[in-house]
This record gives sequence, C-alpha cells and structure tokens, in this order.
Amino acid sequence: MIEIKGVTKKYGKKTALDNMSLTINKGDIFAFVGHNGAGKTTCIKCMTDIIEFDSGDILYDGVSIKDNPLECKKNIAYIPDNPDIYEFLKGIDYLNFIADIYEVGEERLERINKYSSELGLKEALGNPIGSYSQGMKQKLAIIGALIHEPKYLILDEPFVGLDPVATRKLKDYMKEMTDKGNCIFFSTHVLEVAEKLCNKLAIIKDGKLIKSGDMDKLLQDKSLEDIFLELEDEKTT
Amino acid sequence: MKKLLKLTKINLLTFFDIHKVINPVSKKEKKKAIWMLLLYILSFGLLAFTFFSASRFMLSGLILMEIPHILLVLFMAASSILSVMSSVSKVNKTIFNSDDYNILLSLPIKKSTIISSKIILLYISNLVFTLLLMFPAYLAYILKVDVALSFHFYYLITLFLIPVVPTVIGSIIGSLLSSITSRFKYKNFVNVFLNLVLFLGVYALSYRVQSLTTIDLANLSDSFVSKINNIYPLSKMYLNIIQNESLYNFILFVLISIIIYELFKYSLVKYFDNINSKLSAVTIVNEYKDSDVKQNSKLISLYKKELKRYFTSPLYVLNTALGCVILIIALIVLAIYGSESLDALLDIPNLSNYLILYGPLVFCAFCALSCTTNSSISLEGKNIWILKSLPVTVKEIFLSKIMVNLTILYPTILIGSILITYIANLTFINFLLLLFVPGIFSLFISGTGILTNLYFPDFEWKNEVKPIKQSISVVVSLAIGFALSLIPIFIKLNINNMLYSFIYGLFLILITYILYKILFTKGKKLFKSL
Repeated sequence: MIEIKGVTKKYGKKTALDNMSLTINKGDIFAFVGHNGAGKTTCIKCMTDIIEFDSGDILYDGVSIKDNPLECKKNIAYIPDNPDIYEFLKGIDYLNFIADIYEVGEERLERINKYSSELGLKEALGNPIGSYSQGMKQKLAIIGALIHEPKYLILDEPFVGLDPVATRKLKDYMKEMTDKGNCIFFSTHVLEVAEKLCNKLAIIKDGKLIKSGDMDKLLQDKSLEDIFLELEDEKTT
Repeated sequence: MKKLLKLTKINLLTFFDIHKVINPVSKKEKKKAIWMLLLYILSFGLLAFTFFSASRFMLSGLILMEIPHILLVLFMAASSILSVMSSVSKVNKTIFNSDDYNILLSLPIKKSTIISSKIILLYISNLVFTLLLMFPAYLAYILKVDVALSFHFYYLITLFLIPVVPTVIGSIIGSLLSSITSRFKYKNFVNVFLNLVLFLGVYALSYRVQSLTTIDLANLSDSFVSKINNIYPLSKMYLNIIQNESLYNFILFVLISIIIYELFKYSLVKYFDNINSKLSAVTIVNEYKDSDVKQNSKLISLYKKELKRYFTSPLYVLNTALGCVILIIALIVLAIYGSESLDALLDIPNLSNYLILYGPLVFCAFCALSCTTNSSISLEGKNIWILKSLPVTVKEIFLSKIMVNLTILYPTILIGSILITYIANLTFINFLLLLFVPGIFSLFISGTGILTNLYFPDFEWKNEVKPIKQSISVVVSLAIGFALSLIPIFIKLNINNMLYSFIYGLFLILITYILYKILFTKGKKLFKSL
C-alpha cells in the first residue's frame, strides 16, 4: 500500500503540490489525471525520491521514503514520461546495470529474453541506446522497470511513443502485476485508457487534489472526459 | 538579418547561461546563476591580468631587441591555435548534430540563416578567448610602445577577425575526425587516438618553441614567426599589419577572412544535410547474446557504468587524461635520454634533488589537471533521474565516480614514480614518497571534484564541452588542486627533502579526511536536493 500524507512541494513561491493526500491499495491500478503543469510529474518525482518535498510523508507499506529511501526504492520501479537513458550504454548493458542494482540473480536472463521478445526489442539489445528511437527507449525503460518484479510500479505517461503491440503488452503486464497484489500508479492524458484500465482515479489541479476515489463511483454513467472537463470548468468559473 | 540576430541572441543567452539570470525558474536559481556569472567574470579578470603581466614582462625583453611587435604576432598565433583546437571539439553538437536543428528547420527561417547562427556561436565562443589573450597584450603594448593612431584602427578591426579562419579550419578538422572515426567499430577509441595525436602535435610544436627560448629569445622569435608564417599565411599578413601598418595586408586579411567565412557557409548550406547524417550515423552491428547477461555487485556495476561514460566520450578522456599522457611521455623521453642530458637541456644542475623535492608535488599538479570527478555530476545531465530513483546510496554513487578517477591516476602515479626513480637514481624511501603523496592527493582531488560539482551543477547542457571544459566546478577544483600542489613548492622550509614530503603527505591525509567528512554529509544533502 502507498500512502501519500499531506505532501507539499514548493518551487520558490509556486506551490506545485498543496497538502496532497492519497492512498493506493494493493491490487489498485490508479490513474492520475490533470492538465499540463497541474503537479502530476512533481508528485511522481516525490514518490520516487527524485525530488525532496517540503512537508508531509509518503509511506510504502508503512515505511517512510523520507526516513528509509533505500528500503522503499528496492520495491519501486519508475518509468518517466521522457525516458532519457544512458546513450553511451548498449541496451543489454543498461538492463544488466538495473538488474545489478536491484540484485536480481540468474533469473534476469529469462526475464530479459521474455520482455524484450514480447516488446520487440530483443534484436536491438546489442546496440547503443544512442541509436534507439524514442519508442525503443520507452520499451527499454519498461523492461528495466519490470526486471526486478517491483511491488510498486509508478509511471509518468507510459503509453506515449509506444506502438500498438507494446501498448497492449504494457496493459497486460499491468493487469498481471495487480493480480498478484501489487500497486500501479500512473499519470496520463489518455482518458480512455485510464477509464478502461484503472479501478481508481485522482484528478489534480494546480497542485490540489480535486477528486479521487473508485472509478465506477466517480463515473456513474458519465465518461471520464465529461467528468474531467466539468471539474476543469467548475474550478475556472 | 533580423532572424539571424534573434537566433544568435538566443544561442548566446543559452550558451553563457544568461537566460538563467534574466528568466530564472526560482530565486534560488537566479542567485546561483548570478554567482556563476560573477565567478566567470572573476576568472576571466584574473586570466586577463595574468596575460597583461606576462605581456609586460615579455615586452621589456622584446623592446631591448627592437622587436616588440613579435609579442602581438605570438599572441595572435596562440589564440589562433586555441580557436582551432576549441572548434575541433565543439563543432559536433554546435554546428552539426545540434538538438534544435530540426525544430528550427520546420520554422520559416532560411537554412543559411540557421547555419550562419551556428557558425557565429562557435566564432563568438572563440572570440571570447581571443579577446582574453589579445586585449591585455594590446593594453600592455600601447603602454610601452609608441604607436600611430592608425595602429589602433588596424589592431581593433583585425582583433575581431582573428578567430574567423581558425574557426573554419577547426570545424573542418573536427568534422573530418568525426566522419573518419564514425566508420570504425571502436570509433571512440580511434577518435581519442586521433585527437591525442593532434593535441600532442601542438604540444610538441610548443615544446620546440620553449626549448628555443632558453637559447636565444631573438632567434626564437624569428624562427617561430617564420615557422608560423609558413604554416599559416595570415600570421605573415598580420605581422605586416602590426609592424609596417600595411594597408594592403590589412585589406587582404579582412577580405580573406570574409571570403573564407562565406565559402565555408556556402559549402555548409549545400552539403549540410549530407554531412550531418554521416556524422550522426550509428554503426549497428552488434548482436545480443545470452552470454552478454552478466552479474556484478552494486558498486562494481555503478563503477563500470561510470567507466563506460568516461571512455565513450573522447572529449572527456582528452580533457582529463591528456595531463597523465604528457607526464608519462615526458618521463619516458627523459628515461631514454638520461638525467644528464636533461640537466644540460634544461640547464638545471642537480636535477635529481629537484625531482626528490618537487616530484611528488609535480605529480599532484598533474593529478589536479586530470580530475574526472569535477564534471561527473553535471555529465549525468537528463539521466540524473536514474541514479536518484534507484536503490543505491549517495555514498556508492560518489565512490563509483571517485574510483574512475583513481583508475586513471593510480597507474600514472605508479609508472611515473618508477620512471623518476630510475631517471634520478632515487632511494626506495623516495620511491615510496612518490607513491604516497600523490596517492593521497588523488583521493583529495577526486572528492574535491565531486563537491565542487555539487555546488555548481549544470544538467541543462546541450554539448558536453560545457560541463567538461567551461564549468565553474572544473575551474574551482583545478584552482584548489593547483594551489595545494604548487604553493608548497614556494614555501621553503629548512628541513630535509624527504621529511618535507612526508609532512606534506600527513597534511594531505588530514585535509582529505575532513573533505570526505563534508562530502558524505553536506555533499549527500546537496545531491538529494539536485
């Protein structure tokens, strides 16, 4: 379970996250929706210890990322919206590096072969990442994220740049993960995907959470697009 | 023309980080940018003062020999060589393979305007160094030598034209090097090797010039100027402009600079896409095999990643390993020719005594010159999210970067110590001191490099020249390293040489201990706040 408790993050005078609180339970696929600059990426970066937050706490199964970042990060996998990966390494070198850091044993070979074949990246693993397209880098980041079988998968716009086959595969991996009781939290602008894939939803605007809860209860008989636009209008008028 | 000016303005604001002062993301960033700008100005001021003092010193001798104008020609040659070398390393990513080229091309801007703005950026970055060298020399010159009014006109106009042709030459050499090396499987190795040959060639030339100075300055000047004139005809014209105030040569100098620039621009506009695609071509030949999947410990994996980062960047290697390579080559030459020939060549009697006393300190200065860590944090660039999101301690990250620096420095220290011991017939205790003092210093400078880079990080670079060669962290760590290794040479203690080195070594242990305490406490906090 991930608990975000009253997290505030400021950049100078600008409040990027304002007393944000959320709970992501085991088995949840949680969609995080909001307009550009709403604070989604900041929240995700706080959750993954990439940036420090000013107040509040984030707990992974009760362990604080502030007090014990290493313990938390052992179980987290993160995929950024624009995966800038070491261009000087070969694809396979990057995966070996990630597997070493997460102390994945001999099982890494089977996992690398499985995911790279299914995502159509196996042939390119021997090449430098500098020669990869954006989509290929995204696929490599996905393999790197799954290689250590994380309990918490945190993704920032994961479907951008992926081809239809890889998109479908990623959705399958996400479902498989949550079936095993793991948590997934991801930001997206593709509301249709969020609506179909996720059981929980949070909408953020100007750093504040304006709606969150079960997808079914929030939608009732409306589409997510309608709900999102209504909430945006309410706040602006 | 309006668009060209606009593009050039944007390029310059980004290149010199002025945009961070004008449009800062936060107050903290603005404060930091202002400090960095002030440090740049201070460093430039200090350099300009050094060149001014050096010019005055050289002029007093040259005036006696009635050849004061030689000073300006020498400085012109030096700044031209610097511009060529700097263009070689910057052309890729500044003119070719620049990140914004495709976006700019999609806008209603002429291709020739985009390319001109790129050439102008490279030219201006070279002009900064030319002004830094030539303007203090000019001030020293007009203060000591009576000149006509026309001299000022000729000098100040040509001052702005001096970097034009070297920029073009450097760009051509740089693109040729990149295009040759892109055909090889181990292209980075070939690139480092070719660049090394080029740099050593320039060093060898300047070494020849230096060895001549000890014999006869007048001969040197004639010989050097005539050599340069043979290689680079523009310097001959420049000599005529400065010495004889020749209007003919001045017009020729201006015309040649403009024509070469225009020809270069014309060729680039015509062949740009072709060259650009050739330079950005990536050799894809490696097939992935199951045996490529290997296991390592966390620290070793981080270290291997850092080592690959280092060796896949020819610029990084050249800028840091060159000092080590020159030291070893110089010592091998000495070992072959013997210390007596060196005594005679450098006119230093009792050389072995100097080597005992200064050997460890000179090694330390070379270690400061070969610091890889002072840009290692900035070089993470946009990849910094990887290290920050992974379950690794900040200490492990720092150690992996320090280990790379020690991998470069320790073999150099060992080989260098063996060679000096052999050359100067030193005792075993002296040999141990040669290992001990620079060994501790290497640890100190590696930690200093990381700490200074944490205080002055830059993750928004587009060309790695910026963090490797033009960052404040590099300047600061170099200044600390030089101060700590060279100041003891000037402190004369009336004690035994070996004891002096030993005490210095103990002092280094103490400050290294304090530094690492700071690195693993304050440095850790700085890394987390990046």
